[in-house]
Amino acid sequence: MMVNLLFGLPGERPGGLILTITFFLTAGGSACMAGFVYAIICAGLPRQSIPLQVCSALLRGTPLLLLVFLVAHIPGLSASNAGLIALLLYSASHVGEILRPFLASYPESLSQQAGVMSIGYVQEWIGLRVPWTLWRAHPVLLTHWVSLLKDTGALIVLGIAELTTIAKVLSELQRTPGQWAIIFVTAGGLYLGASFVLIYVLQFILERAIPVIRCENQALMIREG
Amino acid sequence: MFAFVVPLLDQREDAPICIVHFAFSHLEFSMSVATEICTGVVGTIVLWVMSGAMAMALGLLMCVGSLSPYAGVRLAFRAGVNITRGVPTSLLVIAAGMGMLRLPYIPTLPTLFPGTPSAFQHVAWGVMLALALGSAGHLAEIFCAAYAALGRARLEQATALGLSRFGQLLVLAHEAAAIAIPPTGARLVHHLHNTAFAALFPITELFGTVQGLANATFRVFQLTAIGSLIYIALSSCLWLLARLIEAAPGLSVTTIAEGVPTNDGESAIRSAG
Repeated sequence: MMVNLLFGLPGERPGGLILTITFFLTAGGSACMAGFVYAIICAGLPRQSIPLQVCSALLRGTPLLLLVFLVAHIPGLSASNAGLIALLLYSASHVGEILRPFLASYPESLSQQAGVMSIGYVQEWIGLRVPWTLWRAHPVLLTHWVSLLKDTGALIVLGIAELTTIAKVLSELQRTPGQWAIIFVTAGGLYLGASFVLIYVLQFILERAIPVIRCENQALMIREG
Repeated sequence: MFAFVVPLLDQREDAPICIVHFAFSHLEFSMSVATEICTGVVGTIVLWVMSGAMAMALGLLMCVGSLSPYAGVRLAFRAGVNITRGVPTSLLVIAAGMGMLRLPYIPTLPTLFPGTPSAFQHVAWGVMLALALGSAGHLAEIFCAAYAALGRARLEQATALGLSRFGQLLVLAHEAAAIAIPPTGARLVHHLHNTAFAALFPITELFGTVQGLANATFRVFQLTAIGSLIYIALSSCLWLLARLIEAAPGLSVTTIAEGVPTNDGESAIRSAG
């Protein structure tokens, strides 16, 4: 049972938790980049980007299940690709809106300091604006990513063999309530474990990857003695 | 429709009769679609309101338990909050739905969910409980955060007022509400979206209705757009309600923020009054 929940049913591997994490990483990573592009456009051109913001609001207002169902009906798309695109759209609409206010509230003083230090426009974006935004927004982003990991369960509508689908299939094969309960408790435990690991890994990566956080933490440690 | 009507006018003598017949059948079809969608909407609203109310009650209970002075109680409730937040609602709904499907029909349960066959009413009850549980942890966390945001000074003020424990609770709940309303509204919108998971079982709600109609008519885009707009309209209603409550006199974050540094309990008395 555990092997099936982790790796999928025989003949349909990879599936289970591995497939859930694959979907999460692929959709979440792409959505993060798309969300950044959205946030840059909206922060840079607040008035002109209103139609884009309306589209994003409509996407956020639509349940993921409905989005998955709609994308799955695009001709020529396989179920996996449809699921991936739906998750990407859903996540990008949230990530973009999370990043937008943070990017818009980038302090003018930092921008002026970059000018004084004759740092170029692109360099300022890559070295200062983007890390500053990620640093400020990372608690909210972490919450969204945990939510996204759980929301991959919506792919059950397409019959994609991720963890929730496997748990459902396995539970249908059980006869006693005890076995049935064990499957759901194990699947729930796997989601819980994956969420905790995800929080710590992403926190670690973000802190390592964004020098601002490291500097801030060091400054805090020095200040605290 | 016009693609059908225009060539018909050229080809047949009895075209007007055919067109009237077609128009009526089309109208009849549209009416039946509208009726089904309306039933789905009502089903979703009932599921949403019932499970949302239950989630708020459970969330409040979990929050109170999490703040208990007894370590054992506190730990148990914290574990409950973390588990319900960490396990996907989809899994909870499937577990509850499949569990209830294994149970025989319970005739004593009241028929609450419109459109759902009476033989599956108990499944709908199970799904409703699972949906409530899925949001309870998140709401408990929101309530706890709002309570913590009041600050020690405000809590001491409430004690110093000499009110009964229930009176203190009312004062603090009123104060914390301003902070808790916006995130609670956002969570309840997410909760509305989660009701779509009920479509995995024979329960009548909006997503299931849209899915069924789209599969039957192949009008996927139109029906999904209608479904999506209805969900957005329902979310907007909740958002509007939250904004109205937020705008209520004496219930704004600024009022509370202004009142925090004072130690005379004036704001708390005003709230109690």
